[in-house]
Amino acid sequence: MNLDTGREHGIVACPVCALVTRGVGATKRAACRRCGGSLQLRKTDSVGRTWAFLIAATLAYLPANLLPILHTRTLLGDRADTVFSGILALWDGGSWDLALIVFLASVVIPLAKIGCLAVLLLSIRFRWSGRCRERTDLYRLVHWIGPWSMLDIFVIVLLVALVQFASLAQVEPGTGAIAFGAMVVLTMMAAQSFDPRLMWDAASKPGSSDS
Amino acid sequence: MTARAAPTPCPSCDALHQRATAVGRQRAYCRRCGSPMPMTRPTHLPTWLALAVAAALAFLIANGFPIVEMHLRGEHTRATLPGALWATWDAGSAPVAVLAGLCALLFPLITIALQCFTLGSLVTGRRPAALRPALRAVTALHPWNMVDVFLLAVLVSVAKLRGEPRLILDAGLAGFMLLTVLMVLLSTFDTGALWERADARGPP
Repeated sequence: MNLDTGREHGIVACPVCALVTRGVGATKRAACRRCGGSLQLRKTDSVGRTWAFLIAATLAYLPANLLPILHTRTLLGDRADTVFSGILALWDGGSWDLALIVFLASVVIPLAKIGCLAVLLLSIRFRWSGRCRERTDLYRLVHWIGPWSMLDIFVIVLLVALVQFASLAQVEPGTGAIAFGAMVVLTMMAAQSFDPRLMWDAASKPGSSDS
Repeated sequence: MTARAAPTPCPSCDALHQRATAVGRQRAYCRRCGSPMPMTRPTHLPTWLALAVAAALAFLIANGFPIVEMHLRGEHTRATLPGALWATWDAGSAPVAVLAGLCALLFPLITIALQCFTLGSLVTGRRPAALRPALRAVTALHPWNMVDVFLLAVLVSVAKLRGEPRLILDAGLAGFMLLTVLMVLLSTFDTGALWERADARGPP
């Protein structure tokens, strides 16, 4: 479908206040008349910044899942749980539904987000012209799901408070928890810096490969 | 001069559309990529102000009252969000406490306060100098308000401790449910309309 684009006409909607401005150039830095927000045809260095955040998020993913995320001290001894051992403990304890939720939120979704954004970035690089609509849907899904990975961090905070049976048990977050939090923040920032319009730009350029 | 009737680009694929005014619960989608498009919505500011004030009250209930309580052999454990954050800090994991505190407590608090301030100002016909920075701050904070994720975490934790003796659900939980609903509603507000009103009442 060939519709006029904002870029062709220098038309930009302010990301802060939604006012539409004409005559925005590719190189000039324009400010929105109404709110002062910066107006750009495309997000600044979107591809570079998104790759940077993704790489950092991947580096944080490893310690997040390999280092202990929770330490439990009871009279019977100490226990250090990683994300995986915690899921197994939930499963063994009969709470397969909780195990599944934690598995999805903490293991699958962060990895899927990183993988999907990487694929979308590559689709820009190699100028894929097909399935643009599906790729846009995928991006919006990745963007929406981002905050939900913070679930694990909140559960840890609540457990520290709740499991305070005097002298029976004590719970402490492990070093993996910090890496996990960093990973969630980095994947969210990667999704925020990605500009899906670049996919459509790349798809409509002449000479693009058909997929 | 640009007007509201100027063509609006799709935020996902940049295709130009004519901005439409919503009737009732209509939604608009991009013709090319299917992404939701912003629409002009009739806004009745006093209603939204009421929602913002209700959200402020829900916030106070959610964080002032315990979410859950546990009784064991005469010992009381009461969990509020601020209390849980403090316990996490005390347990030696300050970064985790700070991250959770920002996303579940501080940012929502600032957002609600700013929404009450901006809506309240415009409803009473005032346009204080702080109005524009306040509106920009609300937009910037939006992705980092995670009250709904925190509520899910509460439900997961409560389910996990289901077998524990004497677990009592308290007013804080109801407060968080209400707060979640209200904050989601408030996030659908047409901020463009707010900017327009902010513009109309004072010097540009």
